[in-house]
Amino acid sequence: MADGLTAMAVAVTLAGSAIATAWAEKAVGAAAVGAMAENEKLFGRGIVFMVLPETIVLFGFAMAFLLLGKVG
Amino acid sequence: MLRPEPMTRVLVAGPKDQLEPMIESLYALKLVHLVDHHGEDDVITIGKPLAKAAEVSEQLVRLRSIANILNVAEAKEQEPAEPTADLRQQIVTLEVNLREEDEARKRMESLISDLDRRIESLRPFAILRVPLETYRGYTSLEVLVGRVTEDVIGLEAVAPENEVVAGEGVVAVFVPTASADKVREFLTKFGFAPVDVPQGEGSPANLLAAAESDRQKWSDRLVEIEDRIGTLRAKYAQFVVKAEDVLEVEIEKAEAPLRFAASEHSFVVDGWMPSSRVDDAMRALAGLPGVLVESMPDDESHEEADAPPVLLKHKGAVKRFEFLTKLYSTPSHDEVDPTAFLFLLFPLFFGLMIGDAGYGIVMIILGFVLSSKLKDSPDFADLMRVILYGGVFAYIFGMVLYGEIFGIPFHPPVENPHELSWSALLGYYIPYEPPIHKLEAFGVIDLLLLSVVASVIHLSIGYVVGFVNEIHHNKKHAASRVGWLFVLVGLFAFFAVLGRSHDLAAPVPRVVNFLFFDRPPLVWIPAAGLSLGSMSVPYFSIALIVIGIAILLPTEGGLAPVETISLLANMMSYTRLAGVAVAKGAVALAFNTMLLPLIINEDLFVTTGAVQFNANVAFIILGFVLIFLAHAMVLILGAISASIQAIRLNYVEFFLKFYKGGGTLFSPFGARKRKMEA
Repeated sequence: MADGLTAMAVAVTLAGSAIATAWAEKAVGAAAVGAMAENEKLFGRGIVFMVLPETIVLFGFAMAFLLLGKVG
Repeated sequence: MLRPEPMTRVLVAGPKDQLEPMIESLYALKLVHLVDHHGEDDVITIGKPLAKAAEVSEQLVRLRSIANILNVAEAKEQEPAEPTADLRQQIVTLEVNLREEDEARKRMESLISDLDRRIESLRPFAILRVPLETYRGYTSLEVLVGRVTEDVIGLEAVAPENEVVAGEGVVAVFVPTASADKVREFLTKFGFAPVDVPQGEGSPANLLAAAESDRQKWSDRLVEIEDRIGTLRAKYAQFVVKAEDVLEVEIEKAEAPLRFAASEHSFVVDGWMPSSRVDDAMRALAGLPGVLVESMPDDESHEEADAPPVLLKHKGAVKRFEFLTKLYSTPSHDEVDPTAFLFLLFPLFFGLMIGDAGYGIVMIILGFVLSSKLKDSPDFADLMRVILYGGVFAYIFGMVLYGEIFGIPFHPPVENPHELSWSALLGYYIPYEPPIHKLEAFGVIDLLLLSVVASVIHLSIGYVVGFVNEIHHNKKHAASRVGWLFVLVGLFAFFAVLGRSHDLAAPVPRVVNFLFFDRPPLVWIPAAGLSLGSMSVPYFSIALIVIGIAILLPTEGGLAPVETISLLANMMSYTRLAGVAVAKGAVALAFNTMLLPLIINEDLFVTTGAVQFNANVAFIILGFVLIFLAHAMVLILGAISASIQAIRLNYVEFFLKFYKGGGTLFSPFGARKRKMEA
């Protein structure tokens, strides 16, 4: 029972953080492409801003992994 | 290597009669980055273009119109063209020939389009077979001609008196003027779209035939003219390209005085050149009578707006990474150029994330082939070369650290001894136990801790470089870097104590323990700490973080303690190294597991480890094709995500600690980009 709940917690953690990342990147990506259409030089900055939210899913990954360690 | 080339400011002054020879010398030198004079002064104004500028630009305009008519737009490699004396004469001759042809072509094109319109308007009338004059010249009759989508029936109900001529999809209705409006409304039911009656008399079919034969005649003529223009293009395209090149150079020279300062009888050129080449320039300009050259090395005393241009001086492999720096921003002249760090760290991170000897080899080969084939697009060639270096690290880590080739590990994970492995596939036990297995929980923890070590090394370099950058500018900012470094080491000490082996006699067999945590100096950190719930934070960490914050408070302001959380987030961000490595390994494994049953008997393999090929050869072939495609996809996606993540760690976590950028690239007078790719 406890194992099952932990495994579900792992899934929720990873899914939640992945959705959050996707959501954030959607907005940033659209804005970055718009800015790049104006000025191609912004590609470098754009890609940096674009991948900023990936940190969220990394937190999720790290936490999910630590939780996974508790599953028998 | 860490600093841009030192620059020297040069002033060249001389009498106006030496202006042209001086421009020639400067242009040939290709060493001076001109600083434009803005002419705020009444006595010393902006120079005027050389006398020939107007003529040269007129010729250039003509030449460009010729190039446009000839449609000269491509031709690659061209050696620098030699100015030809009779360039002007040749342009005029070519223009006369070509203009005539061009005008004839335009005339033909307009005639043909007129005829097209006439043919289009005659076509419905040709169907009705009534002479054209029949449609005109009535006083009490209205003629409605148009296309219809269906046959007109029941017209009598609206207009009892009528005459209808109908053909396929066309109808002409002759009705008294009085009932015309009603009929028009009635006809709309049949999709009536009126057409105008074309000019001319007689049988519309004959008129149509005549127009079509005219059109044929003129389009034959047009083909002839285009052939002639094509011949001219084949003959003169090269000339046009070269001449344009020559004229552009001439214009640049002739208009150069617009960037100089000039008084009535003299001129002054202001610019920057690499300090190492000043002597060459002095020698080259010394021959001109009356011209004075003054130079002073940059002493950092200039205003920010007056900063020297930046010439990055990298050679060989490091030069390939310059584009990554420039993609972010050109370094400013007085800061450390981070390209060398990118050269060391980007392939390392990339390799850690790919971590597969098979993919590594493919990247090395692809990177090498593509970077040597694609000379035309230097940026792409550089990118491929960068992938090649990354591939080298991917190969090394794949062999030594992870023991993995094309997603298949040397040995199965401990938790799943029957999973696919090279030892099982080859039927031979590979006598090497790689220290980290990506698919074992133990190995992933090891990777996560290694990521933390990577973060500390990377960020420390960032803070040290930041300190070096700031020490001459702003002591306060430099001190804040020291404060951050304390906080960073304090945070790291927490992880080091957390991850270290409790009993050194029986150490945890992790790479990170063996290389870092169980070794001096990290093993010396006293473990005694403050208990926070189930965690224990070493006093050592607390002390360092407190010292760091004490330094940060006066240098960075009151928000500094909160900002330390963001530093922790920075450190966690490096876990992407582990994340991408594991995810990529898992995707490759998933494809292998899904597709392998096509090639071998899976049940037998899982239970006994014996390899028995599928009896159906077609399945084996299909299996190999699908596995190839799947791995190609994993390789490409992996390369993209690993390079984006690796560059992100450098741009976001690393560069923000020290790098400002915003410099101006050194672009000397005379160094021309080939604009006209003819």
